[in-house]
Amino acid sequence: MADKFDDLDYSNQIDIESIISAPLVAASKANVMMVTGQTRFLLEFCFNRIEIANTDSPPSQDKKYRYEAIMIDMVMTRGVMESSGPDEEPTFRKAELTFSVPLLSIIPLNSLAINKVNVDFVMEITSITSKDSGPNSLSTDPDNKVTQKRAQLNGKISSAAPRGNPNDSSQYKSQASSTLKVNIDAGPLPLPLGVLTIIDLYVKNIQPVPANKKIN
Amino acid sequence: MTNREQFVSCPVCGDKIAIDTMQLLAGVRFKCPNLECDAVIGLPTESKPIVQQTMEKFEQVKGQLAKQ
Repeated sequence: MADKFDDLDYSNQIDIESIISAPLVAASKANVMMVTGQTRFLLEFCFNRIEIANTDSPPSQDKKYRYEAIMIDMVMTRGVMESSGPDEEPTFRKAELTFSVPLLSIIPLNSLAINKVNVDFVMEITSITSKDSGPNSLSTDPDNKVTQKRAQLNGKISSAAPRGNPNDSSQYKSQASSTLKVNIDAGPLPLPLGVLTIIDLYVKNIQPVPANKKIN
Repeated sequence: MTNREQFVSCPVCGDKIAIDTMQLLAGVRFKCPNLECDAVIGLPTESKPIVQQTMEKFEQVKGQLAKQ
């Protein structure tokens, strides 16, 4: 059993900040990747890219583009009452109206986002060190040694089971298996304000207007 | 099952009609929630290919991102 304790290697201890930040940074990177993918998808498949004339003076080498939302037709059916004359009995019929909506308004875009990340682990503190707070220290007094230093906890991720008798081999094994549980919830998030504004602009223009009314 | 609640504005009364793209593609029509409005919206046959294609691309993008 003593040999087993000799096998314990505390050289691979990590500071607590790294343990917490690593999964968060990974989740953040994944989120950026998904949002970037979503934006690329949006621009590539929901918009038509049209090159426009460069009117800059002096003329620049950069090409300019205008993005137009791809519109799809939808059909609406509603009941209409008609009568050919004032004395005639009105008749009921189903009328169909075709209207356009932007393609992006019917694609479930916001399903590509991380909503919540839970990092769950039990850490066995193996050492505590202190390091300089650096230039961002709150203290302005150069003699103030207390606030210039901050604690740094180092440790190893351990299982949630309490530490038992080292002679008990089963407890020893449970300590040896370390776990870091990361739960990522990719729930629905609201669309970015810019996309919502584009959809809203088109939605407001779905309503039919009389032909002689000036469109704003 | 919808990923989020999606709406299309009713061309008659302006109320929000909840839609599901996959069901629209399957031919389902959605009724305006306004009881006084009798409007029902659906996807005509000519619009189905572009929506179907875009949804397939969307699933591909999601699959690619999941692999990365």
